[in-house]
Amino acid sequence: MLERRNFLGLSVLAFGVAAAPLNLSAVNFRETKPNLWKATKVDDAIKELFGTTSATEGKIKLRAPDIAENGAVIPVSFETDLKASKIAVFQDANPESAVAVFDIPDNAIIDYGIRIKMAETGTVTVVAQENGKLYKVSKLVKVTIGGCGG
Amino acid sequence: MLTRLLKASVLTSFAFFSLNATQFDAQAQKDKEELVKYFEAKFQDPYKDKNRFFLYSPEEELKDGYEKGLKHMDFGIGSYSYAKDAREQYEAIKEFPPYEDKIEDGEDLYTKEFANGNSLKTCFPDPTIGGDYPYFDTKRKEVISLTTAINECLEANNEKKWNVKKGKMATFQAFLAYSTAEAQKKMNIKIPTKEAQEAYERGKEYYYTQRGYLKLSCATCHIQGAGQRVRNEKLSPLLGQVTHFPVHRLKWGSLGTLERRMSGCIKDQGQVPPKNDSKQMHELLYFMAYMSNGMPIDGPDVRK
Amino acid sequence: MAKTRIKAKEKNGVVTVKTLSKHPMLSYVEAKRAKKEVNFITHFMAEANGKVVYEVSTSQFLSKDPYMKFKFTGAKKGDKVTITWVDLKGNKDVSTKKIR
Repeated sequence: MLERRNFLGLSVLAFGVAAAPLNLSAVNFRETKPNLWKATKVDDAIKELFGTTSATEGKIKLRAPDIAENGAVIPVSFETDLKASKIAVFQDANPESAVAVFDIPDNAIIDYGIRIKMAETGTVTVVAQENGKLYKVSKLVKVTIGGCGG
Repeated sequence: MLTRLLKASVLTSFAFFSLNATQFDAQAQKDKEELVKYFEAKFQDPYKDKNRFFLYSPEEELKDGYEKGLKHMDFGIGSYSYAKDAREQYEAIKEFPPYEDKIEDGEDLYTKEFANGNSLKTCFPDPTIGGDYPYFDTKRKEVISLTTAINECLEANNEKKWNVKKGKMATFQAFLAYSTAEAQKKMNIKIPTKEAQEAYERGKEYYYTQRGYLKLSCATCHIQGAGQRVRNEKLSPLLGQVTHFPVHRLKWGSLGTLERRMSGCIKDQGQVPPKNDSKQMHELLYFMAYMSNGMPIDGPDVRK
Repeated sequence: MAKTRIKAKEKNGVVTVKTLSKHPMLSYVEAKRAKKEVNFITHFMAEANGKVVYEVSTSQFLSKDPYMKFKFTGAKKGDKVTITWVDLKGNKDVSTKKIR
C-alpha cells in the first residue's frame, strides 16, 4: 500500500520536474507573472510587473527605427548604466503589450539587442527598475506597407 | 620632317582609335560611365540639389534622412547607401543575418553526389563565379544566366531541375555568391562579339521601355526615381542592383534569386514579366549586370 | 540537435554574444491565420563558468528565428557560453560555444 502511494507520488514528482523550468534557479516571469503577458495596455502591464506605473523619464538609451523596414523584424536595442535588476520591453501595437522581461544578473553589461514584431505603428517602451525606482524611455516606430511588392 | 612625323602620329592614333572601335562593349562602357556620373551627382547633396533631382521631396527629409557624398562603390548596398533610417536597421540585421545557415546548406548541395556520381562541383569546379553571370555564350549565340546554367547542369546529369526562384536554387546560389565575395571578386560581365552587343542593347531597351497600364519603365523608378520615396520606401538604384543576390527579403522571410525579385517587381508594376529562363529575361539581366561591372559581389544579403 | 547559432567574442574583459535561434515564433494571431499551432520561445538563458549571465522571459512578439545580443563580464577567451531556451510547448534547446 505504502509502496503504491510512494510510486504514485514519485511519478507525479517526475512529471512535475519534467514540466518545470530546466534550471530551478532560473527566473521565469512567464510563470511568476502570468497576468503580465495577458495585459493589453502598456500601463497595465507595467503595473502588473513592477507594482506601480510611476517612473522617471531617461537614463536609458533606446534605439529603434523611425520607420520599420518590415513590421515583422524590427531591431530594438537599449543600453543603460543603471544597476538595474529588472528591465522590460513593452509596445502598444499588438493585442498584448509585454514583449520581454530581462532579469539582470550581477556581471551583466546592459547593452542588449532583440528583434521584435509589431502589427502596426506603435510606441516601444523600455522600463528599468533600480533599487525599487523605475526609469523609462519610449520611441514611436512607424509600421506601414511599402510601395513596391514582389 | 615635322609634317611627316605629324602625319605618322595622326595615322597611328587613327589606327589606334579604329582598333578600339571594334571593342563590342564600347557603348556599354560609355553607358556605365554615364550612369555612375549620374548617381554620384544625384547623391552628392540631395538637400542642396533638391530642384534638380528631388523636386517632390520634403526639405526636412532631404536634410536629415539622406546620406550624401556617395561614390560609385557605395551603391553596392542599394538604397541603404542613402536611406539613413533604413541603413541602421540593415546594419542591425547584418550583425547576425538570417541566411548564414543557408550558405552551409549551399555548400552541402555543391558537393552532394548525383545518381551518376557527378555533382554540381563537376559542372562548376570553381565556385567563385558569381560575378561572371549572365554571360554571352558565343557558340550558342545567347545569354546564359546563372540559374539556367545550374539547371542545365542538373538536366545534363539526369537530375530534376530546380525551381528558379527559391529553395535549393537560392540556397546553392547563396554558397556561390558567398564564395565569390570571400574571394573579393567583382562583377565582370563581358561583351565579346557583335551578337553579344546586340543582346546587351536589347536588354537595355527593355529597361528603358514603358509598359503596362502604369506606363512605367524600369528606369522610371530605378534611375529617374532612385532615392525618391514610394510610400515608406526609397527606391533602389540600378547601380549595384544585382550584386547582392540571392537575397533574403524580410518580406519573404526566406532567400530568393534575382529572377524571383525581378518577376515579382515587374508583376507589381502591372506588367507581365518575361519568363524566368526566357531570352528576354536573360538579356535584361545581362544589361543590368554589366551596369554593375567593377562592383564587388556582396551576396547573399538582406533587403526589406 | 542544437538549433541556436552563437557568436561570442571577448574584448577588454567584456564578452559580447550574438545568437540566432531557429524557431517559427508564431503568435496567437499568426498561428490562427496560418492554421498552425501557436508556439514561441518563452524563456532564454545564457550561462558561463557556472553563472547565469543573461536571462529573459519572452513573448509571442519576438521575430521569427529570434536574435539576441547581450554583454557580460567575468569570462575570458576559451571559456564556454551555454544557451538554453524553452518554448511554449515545452521543447528545449541547449547550445554551447567557446568565447573567441
